[in-house]
Amino acid sequence: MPSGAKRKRKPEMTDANTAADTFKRDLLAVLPNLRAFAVSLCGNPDRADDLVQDAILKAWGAQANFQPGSNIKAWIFTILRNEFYSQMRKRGREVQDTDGHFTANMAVHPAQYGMLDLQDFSRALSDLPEDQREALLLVGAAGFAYEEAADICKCRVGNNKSRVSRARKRLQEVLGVEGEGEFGPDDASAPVTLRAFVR
Amino acid sequence: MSEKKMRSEITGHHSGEMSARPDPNRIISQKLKALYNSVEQEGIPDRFVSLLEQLDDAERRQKKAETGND
Repeated sequence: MPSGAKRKRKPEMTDANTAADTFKRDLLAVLPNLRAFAVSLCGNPDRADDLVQDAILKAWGAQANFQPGSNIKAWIFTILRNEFYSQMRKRGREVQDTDGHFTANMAVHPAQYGMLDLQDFSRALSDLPEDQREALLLVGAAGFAYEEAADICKCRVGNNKSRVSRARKRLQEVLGVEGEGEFGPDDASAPVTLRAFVR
Repeated sequence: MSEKKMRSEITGHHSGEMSARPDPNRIISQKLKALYNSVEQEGIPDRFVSLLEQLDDAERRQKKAETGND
């Protein structure tokens, strides 16, 4: 991030305006990451975007509670995560939708990675228990330290670590990557091989 | 697995013949990141940008109304 970013400020702008500006800018900056977390957590892009919207509204309303200078990323992730669980409680267990909304959506975003392979992966991820999935996502993808992730999930660091390692182990089992090198050293051959192991 | 080995897997600096085989943890990490990044790289949907604009505008208007019009 460039230091001394050139931001034009109108002279009549008050400190409150400036703070709100910073808040909005920081929130925007973290949104792509937050959204990726939401999509990976609930496995359904439409529901994930609703979740992100709810989190934005909650965060905006609670702006006064946010300490400027503290970690806005951890703060908004906590809000979204709490919202996810409270919606899940409201709707009952049906919230978890693993039947392909995410994977169907993934298919229209071809990346250089083998998409079929990623679909298998996302399916396996969706099948993890929520606590393991969120721990793995926070530490392994969203960029949080174990301590921060534990704060977000309101659990002890040791708990969080064991959730992450159980999640990794489970994914290895499901995707068949735990064995003794059934596939070659290059990642390019992995997608093809993995397909053979799932279903 | 030793931490040294793990590090070499991550950095891609292979020191021994054993490392020709991909580390399962590394494969999982890579796939997780690939999946996550594919969503992250979609950027911010317009609906969120305009939502924040609306919230911001509403707040500014409210503040202006509170401080009186001058």
